[in-house]
Amino acid sequence: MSSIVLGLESTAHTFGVGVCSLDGDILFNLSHTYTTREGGIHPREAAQHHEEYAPSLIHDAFKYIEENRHKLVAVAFSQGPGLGPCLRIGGVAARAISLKFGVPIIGVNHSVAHIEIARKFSITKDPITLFVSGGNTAIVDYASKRYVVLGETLDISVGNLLDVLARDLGFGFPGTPKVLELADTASRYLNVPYSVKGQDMSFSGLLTAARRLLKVGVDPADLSYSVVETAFSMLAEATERVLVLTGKQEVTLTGGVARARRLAQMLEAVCKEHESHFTVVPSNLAGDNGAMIAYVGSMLYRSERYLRIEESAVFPRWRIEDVEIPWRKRLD
Amino acid sequence: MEETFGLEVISTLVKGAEAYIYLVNFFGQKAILKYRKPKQYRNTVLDTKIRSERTILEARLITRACLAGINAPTVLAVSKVHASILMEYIEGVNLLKVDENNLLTYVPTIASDIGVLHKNGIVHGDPTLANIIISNDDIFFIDFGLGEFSYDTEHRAVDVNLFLKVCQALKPNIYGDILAMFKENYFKILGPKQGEQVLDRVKQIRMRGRYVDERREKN
Repeated sequence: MSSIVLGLESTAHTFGVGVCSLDGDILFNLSHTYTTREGGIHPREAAQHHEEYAPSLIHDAFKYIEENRHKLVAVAFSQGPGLGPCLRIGGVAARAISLKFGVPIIGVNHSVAHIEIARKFSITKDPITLFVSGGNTAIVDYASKRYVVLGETLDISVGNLLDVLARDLGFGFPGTPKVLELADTASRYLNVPYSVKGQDMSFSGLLTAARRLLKVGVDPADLSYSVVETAFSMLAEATERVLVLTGKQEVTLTGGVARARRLAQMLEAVCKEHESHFTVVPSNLAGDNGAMIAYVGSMLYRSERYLRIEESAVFPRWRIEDVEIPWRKRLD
Repeated sequence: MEETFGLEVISTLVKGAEAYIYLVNFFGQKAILKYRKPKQYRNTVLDTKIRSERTILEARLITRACLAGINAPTVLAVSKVHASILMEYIEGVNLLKVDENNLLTYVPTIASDIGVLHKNGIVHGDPTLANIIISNDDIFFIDFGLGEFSYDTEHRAVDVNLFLKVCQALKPNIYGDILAMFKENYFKILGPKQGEQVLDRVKQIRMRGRYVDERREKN
């Protein structure tokens, strides 16, 4: 029996519900992901998916809360960044829960949630974070009360690259796991463009080359391997630069693409060379989920960062540098 | 070691993310050796390609910069196989360590030098204060490791933005003067038309980041 925060996630393909205690323990984490047989995410259809699944997921969460006699003290939701139609479903649900139960509503930045949930499992508690997912590719550091992006993609995200490749190979959404699987069966490395500029990366040239090679009829496994290997090497190199630049002692990996074993392997090698730690977020918390929203919600609750209903509109664009981080001290 | 051309290593100056910089003894004179170490985590084909391509490109950039009349360390030898460059050692002070008043006296030359590089199709790639050295009152550009050959406004603007961004962050009090001086002297070399194009693009670049506020208001 403890005081808990409910968290709702709905930025893109996944509707998730999570429960976290005020001590930061994750108690409940359930989600449902919109999938397609072929093609990518259609924002309206994803929103319809959330509309369909949200009631039963929320119902299950409340059932859990009641059975364990927990006390709901606040509801947190992903306020952005993300797809507008999807975000709004989470927003509507959060407002309804806030009004019905008379508990405060808390807006959480989705990117900050991915970073914080990984930091929870880190060793030094002050790592640099490689955040890689369908919509994001960023290397983030914490400095003077804010998260700052020190390296990022200049065009598409690495998840986007792999998702589009998957789509072209005929896999539905999410296709990235299938591309990674296929890559394991490859026999040779094909020459594809590699582009790191300082701490930033560009993936669009790699995608164009991959699509061209696919049309020429190269072996899909070799192509998958070459694209994955090149993209992950770019991430590893950019991360290495940020690690050396900041002098931090740890790299942590988070976001949906954090589940890729090969990427973790490369980063581990980078960290070893610079005598730093490497940690990766647990795989059930890697992709979008409600637990990470509840977790950040519980920290914001302790800082009393509540929203009035009028302030709870969603922000499809919300840069991480604009988010205040009241729970971290200057030097944590 | 083959990657040091068999020369005696006096000390390791930098263990960077990409390369190691050694101070070596070159027949009684000090010289710099930049060695791009193999990355164990990378596929060997890809790793060899990246390291040798970057080494050759960097050596060419330095040489072309020297030919254009810009001070940069003379390239003494290059090994494609071992991804290393042997070059002149520049004795001097890093621009990071120069105080504000002194920095201002160097800005006009730095600006026209960057202009000369750009006019000759050379983009330095990382012209931050740390990569500019004052030696006997002459300005030397080092570390062309992120550079490229290009006449593209975009690439030029990235260069200019890097220099200005670092000045703005480290010397906010004199940034206004730096910007004015930079513009004046950069324009003298590149001409007002191309100069203006580059500076306009710098503004655009600053707006381009993901989820930037200015962009939201514009839409």
